[in-house]
Amino acid sequence: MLKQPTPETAPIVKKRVSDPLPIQMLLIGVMLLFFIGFIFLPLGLVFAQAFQKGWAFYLESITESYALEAV
Amino acid sequence: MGLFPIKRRNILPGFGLSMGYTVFYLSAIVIVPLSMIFLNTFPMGWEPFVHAVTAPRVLASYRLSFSTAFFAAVFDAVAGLLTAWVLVRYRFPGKQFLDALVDLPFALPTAVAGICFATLYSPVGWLGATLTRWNIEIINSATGIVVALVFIGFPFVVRTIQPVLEEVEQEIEEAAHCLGATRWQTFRKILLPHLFPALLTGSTLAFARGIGEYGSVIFIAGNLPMKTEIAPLMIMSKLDQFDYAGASAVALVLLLISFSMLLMLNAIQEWQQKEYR
Repeated sequence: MLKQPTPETAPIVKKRVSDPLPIQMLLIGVMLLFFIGFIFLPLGLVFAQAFQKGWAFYLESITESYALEAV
Repeated sequence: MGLFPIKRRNILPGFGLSMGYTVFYLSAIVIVPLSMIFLNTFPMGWEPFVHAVTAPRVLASYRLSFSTAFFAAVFDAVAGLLTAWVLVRYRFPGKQFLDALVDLPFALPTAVAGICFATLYSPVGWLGATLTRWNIEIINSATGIVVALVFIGFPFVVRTIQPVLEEVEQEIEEAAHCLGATRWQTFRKILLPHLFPALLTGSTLAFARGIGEYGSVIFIAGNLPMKTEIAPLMIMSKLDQFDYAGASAVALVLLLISFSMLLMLNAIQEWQQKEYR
């Protein structure tokens, strides 16, 4: 997580004024929730639906001539 | 500075040529197609024009488009500010990946996004099944449109705030800290005013995009007349009925609205530069 520079490796590192760790965790968590709800879930669902009927069916539908023409 | 500062000798050569080139391409790509809307609308006459753009169904579609785009822009402002803050300030595993994913709504074809949300919130979908049990209707409702528009407008807010947040000098926060401000006070009184113009620009972009968004919304909206018909869909359905003049009348109204939004955006940016330069 947050790397604290050791005196040997980084002698002159200014420690940035930053937020307390619990706040950071909370904000990252809220952002992840948003990402899950708006980006991961919809995408995951489409993949799941596309492959639901199996790989063969998927290949069959995307290589169907109309679809190829459209793409 | 005048509109055409040609008379003043510039140190860079070739102003005439490059200006001509710019004007030519701007006309060919932007002005000529847009003027077609005006030319198509004018033969209609004033009365039919007003009649076409103030029909109850059309008015309902404007109202829906504007209100959903507004709520989506407000949601995006909050979520985008939070995301930009986390991505700029904190270090955690997977950060690069999330940063890259922010642009996904730009890259993803809008129809794909539409199908994603329609299947997710359909009564048999992963989220839709639970929400239907709680009697929350997402699909075929304004809420669904807001959900799709939040997705579409999200990167606009993040990508306008990120560079501004990165440029904030550390010293002003340290000074605030030294003067005894809490983190929250520093954020509220120092950082937020600094970020506000960028936040406003990003949300306005998201709002403008939300008004025009077609592909992702039509899948989730259900397109019920008077209820969930967005303004761009009105243009499509008028074209389907071979009402070309009516379609371009509605298009003209949308064009004027987005043009005035652009002017507003420019005014915001001007104000932003005056405030912080």
